[in-house]
Amino acid sequence: MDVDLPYRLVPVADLPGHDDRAWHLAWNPTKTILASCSADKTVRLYSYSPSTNTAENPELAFKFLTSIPTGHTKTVRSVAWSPSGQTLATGSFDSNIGIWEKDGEDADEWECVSTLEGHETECKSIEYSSSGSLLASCSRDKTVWIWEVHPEGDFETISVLMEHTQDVKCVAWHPEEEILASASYDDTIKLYIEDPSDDWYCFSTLTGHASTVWALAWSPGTSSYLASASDDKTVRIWKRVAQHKWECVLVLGGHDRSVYSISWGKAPKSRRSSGLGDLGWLASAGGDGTVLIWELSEPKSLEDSSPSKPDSTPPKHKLIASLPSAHGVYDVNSAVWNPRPGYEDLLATAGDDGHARVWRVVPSA
Amino acid sequence: MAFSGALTLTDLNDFINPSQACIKPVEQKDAPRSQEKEAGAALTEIMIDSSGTYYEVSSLVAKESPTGNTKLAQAHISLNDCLACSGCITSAESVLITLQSHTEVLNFLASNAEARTSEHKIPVVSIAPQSLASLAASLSSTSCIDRRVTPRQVLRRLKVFCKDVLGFAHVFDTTFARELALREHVKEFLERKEAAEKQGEAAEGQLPMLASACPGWICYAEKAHSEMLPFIAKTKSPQQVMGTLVKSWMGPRWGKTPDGVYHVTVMPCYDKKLEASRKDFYDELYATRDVDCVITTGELEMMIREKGWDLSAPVPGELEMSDASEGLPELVRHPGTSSGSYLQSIMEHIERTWEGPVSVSVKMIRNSDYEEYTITEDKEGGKVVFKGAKCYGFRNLQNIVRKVGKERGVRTGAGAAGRMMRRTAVAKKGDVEKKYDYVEVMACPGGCVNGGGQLKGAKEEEKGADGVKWGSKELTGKVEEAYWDGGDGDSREWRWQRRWDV
Repeated sequence: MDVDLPYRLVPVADLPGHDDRAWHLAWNPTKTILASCSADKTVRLYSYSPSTNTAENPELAFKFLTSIPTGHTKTVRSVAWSPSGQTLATGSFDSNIGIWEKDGEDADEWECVSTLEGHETECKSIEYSSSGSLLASCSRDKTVWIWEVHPEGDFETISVLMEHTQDVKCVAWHPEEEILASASYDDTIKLYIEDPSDDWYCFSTLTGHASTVWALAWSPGTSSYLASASDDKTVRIWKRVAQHKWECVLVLGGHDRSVYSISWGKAPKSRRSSGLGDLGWLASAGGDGTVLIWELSEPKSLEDSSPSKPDSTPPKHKLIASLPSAHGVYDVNSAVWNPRPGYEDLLATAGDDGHARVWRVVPSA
Repeated sequence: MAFSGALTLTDLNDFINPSQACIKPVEQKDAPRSQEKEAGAALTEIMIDSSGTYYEVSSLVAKESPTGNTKLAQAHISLNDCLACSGCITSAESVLITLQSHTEVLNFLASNAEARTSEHKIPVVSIAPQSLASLAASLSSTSCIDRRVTPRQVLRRLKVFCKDVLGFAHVFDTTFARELALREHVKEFLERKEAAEKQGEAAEGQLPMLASACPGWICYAEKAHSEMLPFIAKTKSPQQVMGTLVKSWMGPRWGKTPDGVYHVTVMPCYDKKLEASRKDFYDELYATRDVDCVITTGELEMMIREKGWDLSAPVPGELEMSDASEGLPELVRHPGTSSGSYLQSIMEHIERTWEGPVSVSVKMIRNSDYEEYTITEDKEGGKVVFKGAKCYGFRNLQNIVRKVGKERGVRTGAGAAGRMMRRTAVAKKGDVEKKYDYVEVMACPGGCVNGGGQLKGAKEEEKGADGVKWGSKELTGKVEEAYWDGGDGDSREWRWQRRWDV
């Protein structure tokens, strides 16, 4: 089936170095840096720049920058950059969250400026809100915490949300609004907003997945869509049908095993200008070692559909690329699109082989 | 065990949901050795040295290496773990809890020896003011507005119920004990302050003094933040002061030793059961506890219903203002907070004793559950004399623990995180912001009026416009209002009145 697909993934870089499985990746949103984290308790940072020796080859050269030993006593499960690109957060199975900054722009060393303690067990996922003023974290202790970012590496707990009945696997902030989503071993997705006069609260629970929800990704921009990846081998697309209401409008198959990771990026400019993929590209990866790329487009809006009626028309979707055995026989734990303009066709993956790999999506022709 | 289902701080929007299974599995650090020992025999023993450090001592290992003792990491069990759990790690706790139920009270009263025999124990009940407020609010909500019931009326009716129906000999409220606790609390604060000033920079673990009356907070601090323990006040809570009063002061007046009195308290809080069960409050000489049994407001209400008593019916003399017939002052007022006015009593002392005029400013941090109080001298360049805070609820408690840990240079949490910090948090020069001197810490949002043992709202959870859950804030507000209702029409006034000016 691969031959029929209009795009393929070509390898750009293979970045070994972790001594144990690589769990997660994060592209710096403002600088040419990629971070990976691993069960070996380290974070590895790479820079990338256009390769200088071959002018015709636009390919990027990746260079190892540094390894942060972190000091976490267990697996570093997730990494996240602040929107400014100045701060890196690490979430670890030792239940703590590390906050890392460089002493100055030219300094090589990344220093731990703060540790956030509060989770009782393994921290599974962390993410900064789009404004960078909030950090969300989740844990096997079934809780989701929201931390307010203060100056000088200071943080304040502003909410402890105990809505899930099991291990919480992933947290994801809406790209523009302060809406937080969390996914859990209890097979549900919960959505939270702040009650201005009180605390944060869960305003919606999305059910439908038949097993653990491993990962979440909002569609880029003024997001009306949320994608979720599950142990039930599917990816579900949830659409905003009212201010505080999301409905499942699409179920994507294609994986033979658990889907551990999804990432939803903008399609490259060239593609968007052709009027396709206006909802972007969705990458999914998991236990079957395969990376799938879907192109999503807004459904043709019917002129006669009344605006008051919830529009639950699913987005148009098309599988545009498939890459089996992205990390050989190993599971793929994470797949992340580069968010920076001009690099939208770059996808990074992390696998049980301890490698981080970078791929470019190119037309098959 | 009735513990788990009941021991829920449900309806607290930043708290915990209970689970049935213990969520804290035992970690085995050492891989099991291949050698077989006789079945049922423990492979290792735990030894505690003089510094309180735990060592795993294996007889097998000891033979192999001279340093066969493995230092054990501290096990961390949080309030979350503990309260969410029905299978207590030490079953002793759950056994104690079964000894703390209203059926136990009824069983005791039924089996108590005949009066005037030497085996007869004098049954006494002491009721917390927050419990009275909860019952008063519930009675007021079921009747019309001019039929408002005050905590005093509730107390008078409960006196009749407890004596005539249940057979108690004496019925107290715990506010006089609180008066003593507050005085001791102020005294301890002054001692700590003096010690801190004497030791200067070297002062450790003196200030800020953290309130000790909330057993939920104590339980959490002991299990998850041992570095906070030196800061926690050593003053007994009102419940335990009441225990001492009843058993060691009233008891002899009734011709009884401490074990000749059976003392029940009614509390807004399930964790008060754990507090009463602490070893600290066990009298080995007489093999008795200061408080024999703690029941919650909800359990008392259940007893009232089971006995078919009508708490909404007035009793004679219930509107009379003072009743000292029991030998202790009744319903002593403590302006400040409905959780016991600990912060307020210290502030009042400072205001009263400071040379020269001072003024108090209040700053709300995020919400009414976290407020900062500052006392400043009323003069040019007047210094900050005192800085304190009230801090309620699990979320705010987290921030207090972090703030105190940072200000006082004690590591929060385990050493792992400490190792990570390479850039040490050194206070910037010129950063002379006054640190906290005192924090009134309570685990429940809204404080004790919203305790886990209080009556639940009659209605189902109210739904907001979007079908959104807004919690039980309204109910807590009603209980708070009832708490301050002295029946003299000026409850709001005296709430802020200086206690010492009266």
